Amino acid sequence: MPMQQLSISGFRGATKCIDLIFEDKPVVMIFGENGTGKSTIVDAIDFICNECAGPLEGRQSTPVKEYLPSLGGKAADLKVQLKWATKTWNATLDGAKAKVVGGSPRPKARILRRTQILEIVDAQPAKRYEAFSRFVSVPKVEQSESALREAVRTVDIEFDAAARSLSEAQTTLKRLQTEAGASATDLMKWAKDKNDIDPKDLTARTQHITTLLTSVQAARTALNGLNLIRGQAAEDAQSVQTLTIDLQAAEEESEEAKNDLLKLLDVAAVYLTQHEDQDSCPICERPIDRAELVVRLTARKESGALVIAASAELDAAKKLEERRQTLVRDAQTRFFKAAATLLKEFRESNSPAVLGSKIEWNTFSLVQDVVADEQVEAVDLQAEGLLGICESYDSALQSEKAGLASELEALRAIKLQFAAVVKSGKQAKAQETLSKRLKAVLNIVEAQRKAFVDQALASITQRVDSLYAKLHPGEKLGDIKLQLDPNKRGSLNVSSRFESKTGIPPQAYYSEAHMDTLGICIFIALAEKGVAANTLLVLDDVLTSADQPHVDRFISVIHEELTLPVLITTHYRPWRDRYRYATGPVGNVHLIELLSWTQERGVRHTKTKLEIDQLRALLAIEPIDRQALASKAGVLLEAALRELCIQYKCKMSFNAEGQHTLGEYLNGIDSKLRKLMKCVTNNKSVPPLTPTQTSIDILPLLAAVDSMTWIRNQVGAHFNLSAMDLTDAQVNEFAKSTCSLLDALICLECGELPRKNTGSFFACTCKGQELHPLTSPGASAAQTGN
Amino acid sequence: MDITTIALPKTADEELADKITDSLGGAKLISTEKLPQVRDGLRKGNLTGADWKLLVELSEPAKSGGTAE
Repeated sequence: MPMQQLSISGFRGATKCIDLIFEDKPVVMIFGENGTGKSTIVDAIDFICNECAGPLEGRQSTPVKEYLPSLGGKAADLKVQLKWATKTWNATLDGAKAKVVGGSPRPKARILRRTQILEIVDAQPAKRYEAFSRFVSVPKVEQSESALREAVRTVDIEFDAAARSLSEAQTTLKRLQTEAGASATDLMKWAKDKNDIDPKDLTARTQHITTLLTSVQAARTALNGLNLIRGQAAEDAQSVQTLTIDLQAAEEESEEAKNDLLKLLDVAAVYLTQHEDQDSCPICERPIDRAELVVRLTARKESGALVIAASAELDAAKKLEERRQTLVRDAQTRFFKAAATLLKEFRESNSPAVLGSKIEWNTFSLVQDVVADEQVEAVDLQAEGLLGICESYDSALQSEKAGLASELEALRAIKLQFAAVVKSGKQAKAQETLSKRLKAVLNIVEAQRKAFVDQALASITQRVDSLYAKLHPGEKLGDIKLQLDPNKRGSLNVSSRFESKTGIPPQAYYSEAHMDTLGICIFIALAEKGVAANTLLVLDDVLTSADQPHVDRFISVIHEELTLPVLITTHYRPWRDRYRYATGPVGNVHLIELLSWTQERGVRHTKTKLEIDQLRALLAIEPIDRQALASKAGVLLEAALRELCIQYKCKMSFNAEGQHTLGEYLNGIDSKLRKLMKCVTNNKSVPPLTPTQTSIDILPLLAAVDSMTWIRNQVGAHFNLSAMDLTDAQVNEFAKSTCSLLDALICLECGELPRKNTGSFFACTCKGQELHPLTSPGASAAQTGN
Repeated sequence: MDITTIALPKTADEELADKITDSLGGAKLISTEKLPQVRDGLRKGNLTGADWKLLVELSEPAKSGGTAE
């Protein structure tokens, strides 16, 4: 027992400090009648190991702070100290919680209380699942698994979308291929070839056609402008000619009205008006009368007014004509330049429409940017001719341009759809690959989780069933199965076998005792699973009533099956006495006995004395206690002989109460059996020494006690006057003979009689002691079964 | 008993996370360098769908340079 000491004070029933110092044995049994403090000890372990207030935990009617301290004690006085494998932990009450100080990791305790046994089996499936959830519930992994499942779903949706886009793009591409008249070719090869085409060429050709058409348009515009101005110039020339005739007619009608004279008179009048001090002629310098001369000039001017008006009108017309001629020359220049451009564009054009016409461009050799005056008319003719020819290509050029535009549009569409096919194809492929890998991951996660849960349950189930089978061998029950309800989350069902019926809930047919043992088995299986090595298993008063075979099997389970250190509390005396009378492996058990409790003295304990030890103690007393010695030896002898008679199925006289006398037990072991009986002790040794065996015949030892059993009746059982004649030595000898027989039979290691059928002989729990033979020669075949 | 060697037992989540991670590594579905992230995420339950996608994508042989599948 790694737990070395438990000290409790001011806690529950421990009104005074109690120190429990544990021996180095795997099992501690604390025996005490009701109300002696067993639960106080278990609660103290729960408090310091699990920080739990035991039955008070979570109960509002019994607040921890008020009721965990001893009756009449203070919370501050509550102390629990645990020494475990050389380390010490101290627990006090901090508010309503345990405050534990000590190293890490702190020992843990898995505690099964009497009240919990049926809860485990009888609970609702969901409640039962809670007890198992520690082993089978994996919420974190399930959370990540859900996210993974969602990822698979999302990727599948994305894959579907990509596949749909791919299909649509392929359909469109196929239509374009059909429209292009290339259905026979492999779609993707055709599309790729198209995609490889550089649209620059088509664009350049379109641009060229546009340039040709623009050039024609520009030349036409220039010529139209030229013709317009030419018309206006012609009108101007006509106007000048008409006005000249009119002026000549006016001059012929007036002597004064010579046009140039009138102008002179006008100038002179203006001069004399502006120079008021002029008193001589500015030309001949003769004296003049300025005022008179101005009056005379005005009179002469008025007589030539018509001539003057005609002359002014003619001057204006001539000026307009001159400006128009300038415009004509400018327009000509523009037209010739446009024509020269036109000629250059068409001559160099590679447009099929133009190339196919075979125009003799030399015919327009005069057409150029700069034209000499004498060639204007000839150039004009050639330019207009050129324009006419070029304009005749307009329809063909427009058609060619439209064709190119259509070709470009189709190419652009093919490129677009080809790109869409490639992109969607890549996306679909990537999503498909990702989806496959995610699904593979999900399959593993899912399978591992299911396997883990199944395995965890199977492992617990197997353990429960195995323990249960050991407790109830040969009984038509068992086959315990723990299964998750597939239709409900967090629900655990228990099924079992009863007689020939399998898969039934144990509550349906099992007795209360069978349900108890099932609950204990489930608890042990759960307690053992996934625990740290520094865990104590506590069974708090779990066995209340059981027949002898079941108690024996329960003891076997505890000593042979459990790997954790165990602390047992019980008020069930037969269980304790199995150890006291050497019918359990008492060598592996530290037996502690609780004494009666009072508030003044608190929980008290003492070491349980074994019967054989008590007999030895009586033997050591001087003067001897004759009655006690004879009585104790007789009882011990009866207990041992009873076990032998049961094991060998000795023939006994019928007794309705099942009680037999010492003599009857001795008679039951017949002479044939006595001769064969021997105990073999396997002496353990440290390698390289080989183990040795020592053998003792039981016959003389039985013969010795057989000859003295009357002493027990005379001295140890009744008041008897004749017993007074017996010497102390005779009583002593009876007790010593009893001790010798028991020493030969009981294993020195585990302190148990060899009671387990190994198939060849009987052995004790530790197998250090063997009892031969396995069967009595006098036993019938029917009796030899185990 | 030497208490210094006592290790706290794994939780069911931790135990299963380790098993799953080992299986995923064995199946070469997750690259070796990404396995600790998967193990940690499974233990803590904080792997999202986006995390899974990224981990699986980055573990693809072509992307991780591995030889999976």
